[in-house]
Amino acid sequence: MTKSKAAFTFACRTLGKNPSLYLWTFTFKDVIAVKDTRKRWNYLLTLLLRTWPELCGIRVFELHPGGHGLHVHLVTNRFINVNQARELAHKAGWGRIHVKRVPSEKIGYVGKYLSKKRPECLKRWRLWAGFGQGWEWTKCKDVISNTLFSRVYRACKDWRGWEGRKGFFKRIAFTWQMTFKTIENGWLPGLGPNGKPYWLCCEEELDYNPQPCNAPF
Amino acid sequence: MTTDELCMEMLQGRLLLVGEYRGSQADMKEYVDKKSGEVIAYVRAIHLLELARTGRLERVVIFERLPVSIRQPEDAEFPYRKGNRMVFFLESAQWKNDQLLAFLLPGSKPEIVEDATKKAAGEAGNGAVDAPEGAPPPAPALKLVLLETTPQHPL
Repeated sequence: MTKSKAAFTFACRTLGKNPSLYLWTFTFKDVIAVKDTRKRWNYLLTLLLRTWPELCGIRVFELHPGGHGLHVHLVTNRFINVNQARELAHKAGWGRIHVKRVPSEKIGYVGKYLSKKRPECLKRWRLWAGFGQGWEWTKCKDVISNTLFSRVYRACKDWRGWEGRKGFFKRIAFTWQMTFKTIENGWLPGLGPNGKPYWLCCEEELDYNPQPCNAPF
Repeated sequence: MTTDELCMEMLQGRLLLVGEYRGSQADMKEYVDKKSGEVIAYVRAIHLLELARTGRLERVVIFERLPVSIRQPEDAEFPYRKGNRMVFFLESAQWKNDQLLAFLLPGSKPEIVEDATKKAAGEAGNGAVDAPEGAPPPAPALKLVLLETTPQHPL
Protein backbone atom coordinates (compact mmCIF):
# COMPACT_ATOMS: atom_id res chain seq x y z
CA MET A 1 0.00 0.00 0.00
CA THR A 2 1.32 3.45 -0.84
CA LYS A 3 0.94 6.61 1.17
CA SER A 4 -1.47 7.94 -1.43
CA LYS A 5 -3.75 4.93 -1.08
CA ALA A 6 -3.57 5.16 2.70
CA ALA A 7 -4.55 8.84 2.54
CA PHE A 8 -7.37 7.94 0.17
CA THR A 9 -8.60 5.27 2.58
CA PHE A 10 -8.55 7.73 5.47
CA ALA A 11 -10.45 10.28 3.37
CA CYS A 12 -13.03 7.62 2.49
CA ARG A 13 -13.48 6.79 6.15
CA THR A 14 -14.12 10.47 6.91
CA LEU A 15 -16.62 10.73 4.08
CA GLY A 16 -18.10 7.34 4.98
CA LYS A 17 -19.36 8.70 8.27
CA ASN A 18 -22.30 10.04 6.28
CA PRO A 19 -25.19 7.60 6.18
CA SER A 20 -25.74 7.84 2.45
CA LEU A 21 -23.07 7.84 -0.19
CA TYR A 22 -23.48 7.89 -3.94
CA LEU A 23 -21.03 6.63 -6.53
CA TRP A 24 -21.12 8.53 -9.80
CA THR A 25 -19.37 7.54 -13.01
CA PHE A 26 -18.80 10.04 -15.79
CA THR A 27 -17.68 8.80 -19.18
CA PHE A 28 -17.23 10.13 -22.67
CA LYS A 29 -18.93 9.02 -25.80
CA ASP A 30 -15.74 9.40 -27.82
CA VAL A 31 -12.16 8.83 -26.83
CA ILE A 32 -10.49 12.16 -26.21
CA ALA A 33 -7.06 13.18 -25.01
CA VAL A 34 -6.37 12.83 -21.34
CA LYS A 35 -5.50 16.51 -20.96
CA ASP A 36 -8.79 17.59 -22.52
CA THR A 37 -10.62 15.27 -20.15
CA ARG A 38 -9.08 17.08 -17.21
CA LYS A 39 -10.25 20.45 -18.51
CA ARG A 40 -13.75 19.15 -19.03
CA TRP A 41 -13.78 17.68 -15.58
CA ASN A 42 -12.81 21.02 -14.04
CA TYR A 43 -15.66 22.64 -15.92
CA LEU A 44 -18.15 19.99 -14.80
CA LEU A 45 -17.02 20.24 -11.20
CA THR A 46 -17.47 24.02 -11.31
CA LEU A 47 -21.01 23.59 -12.64
CA LEU A 48 -21.85 20.97 -10.00
CA LEU A 49 -20.56 23.10 -7.14
CA ARG A 50 -22.41 26.16 -8.41
CA THR A 51 -25.66 24.17 -8.53
CA TRP A 52 -25.10 22.38 -5.20
CA PRO A 53 -22.73 24.47 -3.05
CA GLU A 54 -22.81 22.00 -0.19
CA LEU A 55 -21.75 19.11 -2.33
CA CYS A 56 -18.53 17.40 -1.26
CA GLY A 57 -16.83 14.16 -2.00
CA ILE A 58 -13.87 12.46 -3.61
CA ARG A 59 -13.10 12.06 -7.26
CA VAL A 60 -10.84 9.43 -8.84
CA PHE A 61 -9.51 9.34 -12.36
CA GLU A 62 -9.51 5.95 -14.03
CA LEU A 63 -8.20 4.97 -17.42
CA HIS A 64 -10.54 2.45 -18.94
CA PRO A 65 -8.67 -0.79 -19.71
CA GLY A 66 -10.69 -1.29 -22.87
CA GLY A 67 -9.18 1.84 -24.39
CA HIS A 68 -12.25 4.03 -23.98
CA GLY A 69 -10.33 6.91 -22.45
CA LEU A 70 -10.51 8.48 -19.04
CA HIS A 71 -13.43 7.97 -16.67
CA VAL A 72 -14.12 9.87 -13.52
CA HIS A 73 -15.56 8.23 -10.46
CA LEU A 74 -17.15 10.48 -7.91
CA VAL A 75 -18.30 9.67 -4.41
CA THR A 76 -20.63 12.25 -2.93
CA ASN A 77 -22.29 12.57 0.40
CA ARG A 78 -25.67 13.87 -0.64
CA PHE A 79 -28.40 13.15 -3.11
CA ILE A 80 -28.42 15.25 -6.28
CA ASN A 81 -30.94 14.98 -9.07
CA VAL A 82 -29.51 12.75 -11.79
CA ASN A 83 -31.43 14.54 -14.54
CA GLN A 84 -30.00 17.88 -13.49
CA ALA A 85 -26.57 16.31 -13.25
CA ARG A 86 -26.99 14.83 -16.74
CA GLU A 87 -27.82 18.23 -18.18
CA LEU A 88 -24.75 19.75 -16.59
CA ALA A 89 -22.61 16.86 -17.83
CA HIS A 90 -23.83 17.37 -21.39
CA LYS A 91 -23.15 21.06 -21.09
CA ALA A 92 -19.58 20.28 -20.02
CA GLY A 93 -19.14 17.90 -22.94
CA TRP A 94 -19.51 14.60 -21.14
CA GLY A 95 -21.35 11.55 -22.36
CA ARG A 96 -22.93 8.85 -20.28
CA ILE A 97 -23.28 9.17 -16.54
CA HIS A 98 -24.28 6.58 -14.00
CA VAL A 99 -25.05 6.75 -10.32
CA LYS A 100 -25.81 4.26 -7.58
CA ARG A 101 -25.99 4.23 -3.85
CA VAL A 102 -23.08 2.55 -2.08
CA PRO A 103 -22.67 1.46 1.53
CA SER A 104 -19.93 3.35 3.30
CA GLU A 105 -17.87 0.19 3.87
CA LYS A 106 -17.65 -0.45 0.12
CA ILE A 107 -16.35 2.97 -0.71
CA GLY A 108 -12.77 1.80 -0.72
CA TYR A 109 -13.52 -0.09 -3.95
CA VAL A 110 -13.07 3.16 -5.84
CA GLY A 111 -9.48 3.24 -4.69
CA LYS A 112 -8.54 -0.06 -6.29
CA TYR A 113 -7.11 1.79 -9.27
CA LEU A 114 -4.62 3.49 -6.98
CA SER A 115 -2.90 0.18 -6.35
CA LYS A 116 -2.47 -0.74 -9.97
CA LYS A 117 0.45 0.28 -12.09
CA ARG A 118 -0.06 3.85 -13.18
CA PRO A 119 -0.47 4.27 -16.96
CA GLU A 120 2.22 6.32 -18.63
CA CYS A 121 -0.18 9.07 -19.68
CA LEU A 122 -1.21 9.60 -16.05
CA LYS A 123 2.29 10.03 -14.67
CA ARG A 124 2.59 13.04 -12.33
CA TRP A 125 -1.20 13.37 -12.19
CA ARG A 126 -3.22 13.80 -9.06
CA LEU A 127 -5.21 10.58 -9.41
CA TRP A 128 -7.60 11.36 -6.62
CA ALA A 129 -8.67 14.46 -4.76
CA GLY A 130 -11.35 15.65 -2.41
CA PHE A 131 -13.60 18.57 -3.24
CA GLY A 132 -16.22 20.68 -1.57
CA GLN A 133 -16.34 22.87 1.46
CA GLY A 134 -17.06 21.87 5.00
CA TRP A 135 -14.77 18.92 5.28
CA GLU A 136 -11.08 18.27 5.52
CA TRP A 137 -9.87 15.21 3.68
CA THR A 138 -6.63 13.51 4.54
CA LYS A 139 -3.79 14.37 2.22
CA CYS A 140 -0.54 12.48 1.70
CA LYS A 141 1.36 14.95 3.85
CA ASP A 142 -1.00 14.16 6.72
CA VAL A 143 0.00 10.50 6.70
CA ILE A 144 2.99 9.15 8.60
CA SER A 145 4.31 5.76 7.70
CA ASN A 146 5.88 3.61 10.35
CA THR A 147 8.02 0.77 9.08
CA LEU A 148 11.11 -1.12 10.17
CA PHE A 149 13.25 1.15 8.02
CA SER A 150 11.72 4.34 9.42
CA ARG A 151 12.19 3.14 13.01
CA VAL A 152 15.83 2.29 12.34
CA TYR A 153 16.29 5.66 10.62
CA ARG A 154 14.89 7.57 13.59
CA ALA A 155 17.11 5.63 15.96
CA CYS A 156 20.16 6.35 13.79
CA LYS A 157 19.17 10.00 13.58
CA ASP A 158 19.04 10.30 17.37
CA TRP A 159 22.28 8.37 17.75
CA ARG A 160 24.31 10.18 15.13
CA GLY A 161 22.68 13.59 15.60
CA TRP A 162 21.63 13.99 11.98
CA GLU A 163 20.23 17.38 11.15
CA GLY A 164 19.21 19.05 7.96
CA ARG A 165 19.51 17.46 4.56
CA LYS A 166 23.25 17.15 4.29
CA GLY A 167 24.51 13.69 3.39
CA PHE A 168 21.03 12.30 2.70
CA PHE A 169 22.18 9.41 0.50
CA LYS A 170 24.94 8.41 2.92
CA ARG A 171 22.41 8.41 5.74
CA ILE A 172 20.06 6.22 3.76
CA ALA A 173 22.85 3.80 2.91
CA PHE A 174 23.92 3.69 6.56
CA THR A 175 20.33 3.10 7.67
CA TRP A 176 20.05 0.21 5.24
CA GLN A 177 23.19 -1.34 6.70
CA MET A 178 21.77 -1.05 10.20
CA THR A 179 18.49 -2.52 8.94
CA PHE A 180 20.36 -5.48 7.47
CA LYS A 181 22.06 -6.07 10.81
CA THR A 182 18.71 -5.84 12.56
CA ILE A 183 17.22 -8.50 10.30
CA GLU A 184 20.26 -10.81 10.32
CA ASN A 185 20.76 -10.70 14.08
CA GLY A 186 17.09 -10.56 15.06
CA TRP A 187 17.37 -7.25 16.90
CA LEU A 188 14.32 -5.21 17.80
CA PRO A 189 13.64 -2.35 15.35
CA GLY A 190 15.68 0.69 16.31
CA LEU A 191 17.67 -1.16 18.96
CA GLY A 192 20.98 -2.96 19.06
CA PRO A 193 21.91 -6.31 20.58
CA ASN A 194 20.09 -7.26 23.80
CA GLY A 195 17.61 -4.45 23.22
CA LYS A 196 20.11 -1.69 23.95
CA PRO A 197 19.82 1.64 22.13
CA TYR A 198 22.52 2.24 19.56
CA TRP A 199 24.26 4.91 21.62
CA LEU A 200 24.68 2.42 24.48
CA CYS A 201 26.32 -0.20 22.28
CA CYS A 202 30.00 -0.31 21.57
CA GLU A 203 31.48 -0.52 18.09
CA GLU A 204 32.20 -4.24 18.33
CA GLU A 205 28.60 -5.01 19.22
CA LEU A 206 27.32 -3.09 16.25
CA ASP A 207 30.20 -4.23 14.04
CA TYR A 208 30.52 -0.59 13.13
CA ASN A 209 33.60 1.19 11.90
CA PRO A 210 33.23 4.93 12.47
CA GLN A 211 36.12 5.69 10.08
CA PRO A 212 34.89 6.52 6.62
CA CYS A 213 35.97 3.98 4.08
CA ASN A 214 35.02 2.99 0.59
CA ALA A 215 34.73 -0.72 1.36
CA PRO A 216 31.23 -2.15 1.75
CA PHE A 217 29.97 -2.30 5.32
CA MET B 1 13.71 -26.99 -6.30
CA THR B 2 16.59 -28.37 -8.33
CA THR B 3 18.83 -26.33 -10.56
CA ASP B 4 17.24 -27.96 -13.62
CA GLU B 5 13.79 -26.91 -12.51
CA LEU B 6 15.12 -23.46 -11.78
CA CYS B 7 16.52 -23.19 -15.30
CA MET B 8 13.13 -24.17 -16.69
CA GLU B 9 11.48 -21.43 -14.68
CA MET B 10 14.02 -18.91 -15.91
CA LEU B 11 13.54 -19.96 -19.52
CA GLN B 12 9.82 -19.41 -19.11
CA GLY B 13 10.60 -15.81 -18.31
CA ARG B 14 9.65 -15.76 -14.67
CA LEU B 15 11.10 -12.97 -12.58
CA LEU B 16 13.17 -14.49 -9.79
CA LEU B 17 16.22 -13.95 -7.62
CA VAL B 18 18.66 -16.56 -6.38
CA GLY B 19 21.00 -15.89 -3.53
CA GLU B 20 22.08 -16.77 -0.05
CA TYR B 21 19.35 -16.38 2.51
CA ARG B 22 20.45 -14.11 5.35
CA GLY B 23 17.35 -13.78 7.50
CA SER B 24 13.79 -12.55 7.80
CA GLN B 25 11.81 -10.33 10.08
CA ALA B 26 8.11 -9.64 10.43
CA ASP B 27 7.32 -5.96 10.40
CA MET B 28 4.14 -4.14 11.33
CA LYS B 29 3.69 -1.51 8.66
CA GLU B 30 1.50 1.34 9.85
CA TYR B 31 0.03 4.42 8.24
CA VAL B 32 -1.13 6.98 10.77
CA ASP B 33 -3.43 9.89 9.96
CA LYS B 34 -2.07 12.89 11.85
CA LYS B 35 -5.47 14.60 11.82
CA SER B 36 -7.75 11.89 13.10
CA GLY B 37 -5.25 9.51 14.67
CA GLU B 38 -6.61 6.58 12.69
CA VAL B 39 -4.26 3.80 11.79
CA ILE B 40 -4.02 1.35 8.91
CA ALA B 41 -1.71 -1.49 9.87
CA TYR B 42 -0.76 -4.83 8.42
CA VAL B 43 2.04 -7.31 8.95
CA ARG B 44 4.55 -8.00 6.25
CA ALA B 45 7.72 -10.06 6.09
CA ILE B 46 11.08 -8.69 5.07
CA HIS B 47 13.54 -11.22 3.69
CA LEU B 48 17.21 -10.53 3.18
CA LEU B 49 19.02 -12.15 0.29
CA GLU B 50 22.70 -11.86 -0.43
CA LEU B 51 23.89 -12.15 -3.99
CA ALA B 52 26.75 -11.06 -6.15
CA ARG B 53 26.25 -8.30 -8.65
CA THR B 54 28.92 -6.47 -10.60
CA GLY B 55 31.57 -8.42 -8.74
CA ARG B 56 30.68 -7.50 -5.18
CA LEU B 57 28.29 -8.87 -2.60
CA GLU B 58 25.03 -7.05 -2.16
CA ARG B 59 21.90 -7.52 -0.16
CA VAL B 60 18.45 -7.43 -1.64
CA VAL B 61 15.37 -6.70 0.44
CA ILE B 62 12.30 -8.73 -0.49
CA PHE B 63 8.90 -7.82 0.92
CA GLU B 64 6.15 -10.35 1.39
CA ARG B 65 2.58 -9.52 2.31
CA LEU B 66 1.52 -11.96 4.99
CA PRO B 67 -2.02 -13.36 5.35
CA VAL B 68 -4.60 -11.32 7.20
CA SER B 69 -4.74 -14.02 9.87
CA ILE B 70 -1.32 -12.91 11.07
CA ARG B 71 -2.16 -9.86 13.12
CA GLN B 72 1.05 -9.45 15.06
CA PRO B 73 4.68 -9.76 13.95
CA GLU B 74 5.24 -12.35 16.68
CA ASP B 75 2.79 -14.72 14.96
CA ALA B 76 4.89 -14.99 11.81
CA GLU B 77 7.23 -17.93 11.42
CA PHE B 78 10.14 -18.30 9.05
CA PRO B 79 11.27 -21.93 8.70
CA TYR B 80 14.28 -21.03 6.58
CA ARG B 81 17.90 -21.57 7.47
CA LYS B 82 20.48 -18.86 7.13
CA GLY B 83 23.14 -19.71 4.57
CA ASN B 84 20.89 -21.73 2.26
CA ARG B 85 20.80 -20.90 -1.39
CA MET B 86 17.21 -19.96 -2.09
CA VAL B 87 15.10 -18.71 -4.95
CA PHE B 88 12.44 -16.02 -4.60
CA PHE B 89 9.83 -15.54 -7.29
CA LEU B 90 9.06 -11.88 -7.64
CA GLU B 91 6.11 -9.80 -8.68
CA SER B 92 8.19 -6.67 -9.18
CA ALA B 93 11.44 -5.03 -8.22
CA GLN B 94 12.65 -1.46 -8.07
CA TRP B 95 15.76 0.52 -7.32
CA LYS B 96 15.34 3.07 -4.58
CA ASN B 97 18.26 5.16 -3.34
CA ASP B 98 20.74 2.61 -4.67
CA GLN B 99 19.03 -0.27 -2.91
CA LEU B 100 17.19 -3.05 -4.73
CA LEU B 101 13.75 -3.68 -3.27
CA ALA B 102 11.67 -6.57 -4.50
CA PHE B 103 8.17 -7.85 -3.84
CA LEU B 104 7.43 -11.53 -3.55
CA LEU B 105 4.92 -12.96 -5.97
CA PRO B 106 1.67 -13.49 -4.05
CA GLY B 107 1.03 -17.14 -3.41
CA SER B 108 4.63 -18.19 -3.84
CA LYS B 109 7.07 -19.15 -1.12
CA PRO B 110 10.87 -19.07 -1.09
CA GLU B 111 12.41 -22.41 -2.05
CA ILE B 112 15.78 -23.96 -1.46
CA VAL B 113 17.82 -24.52 -4.59
CA GLU B 114 19.48 -27.93 -4.71
CA ASP B 115 22.01 -29.19 -7.16
CA ALA B 116 20.19 -31.59 -9.50
CA THR B 117 22.97 -34.24 -9.63
CA LYS B 118 23.48 -34.21 -5.88
CA LYS B 119 19.76 -34.57 -5.29
CA ALA B 120 19.55 -37.50 -7.67
CA ALA B 121 22.56 -39.11 -6.02
CA GLY B 122 21.02 -38.63 -2.65
CA GLU B 123 17.76 -40.21 -3.77
CA ALA B 124 19.61 -43.24 -5.19
CA GLY B 125 21.16 -43.88 -1.83
CA ASN B 126 24.74 -45.07 -2.54
CA GLY B 127 25.61 -42.51 -5.15
CA ALA B 128 24.78 -44.80 -8.12
CA VAL B 129 22.06 -43.62 -10.47
CA ASP B 130 20.17 -46.17 -12.64
CA ALA B 131 20.65 -45.53 -16.33
CA PRO B 132 17.48 -45.05 -18.46
CA GLU B 133 16.30 -47.75 -20.88
CA GLY B 134 18.22 -48.00 -24.13
CA ALA B 135 21.31 -46.34 -22.71
CA PRO B 136 24.68 -47.68 -23.96
CA PRO B 137 26.47 -50.09 -21.63
CA PRO B 138 28.80 -48.44 -19.15
CA ALA B 139 32.42 -48.11 -20.18
CA PRO B 140 34.84 -50.62 -18.64
CA ALA B 141 36.51 -49.41 -15.50
CA LEU B 142 39.79 -47.68 -16.22
CA LYS B 143 42.96 -48.87 -14.58
CA LEU B 144 44.74 -45.89 -13.21
CA VAL B 145 48.52 -46.08 -12.73
CA LEU B 146 50.91 -43.60 -11.29
CA LEU B 147 52.72 -41.48 -13.86
CA GLU B 148 56.17 -42.35 -12.58
CA THR B 149 55.61 -46.02 -13.32
CA THR B 150 54.20 -45.45 -16.79
CA PRO B 151 56.91 -46.15 -19.38
CA GLN B 152 57.63 -43.01 -21.35
CA HIS B 153 57.98 -43.76 -25.05
CA PRO B 154 59.89 -41.28 -27.16
CA LEU B 155 57.78 -39.62 -29.88
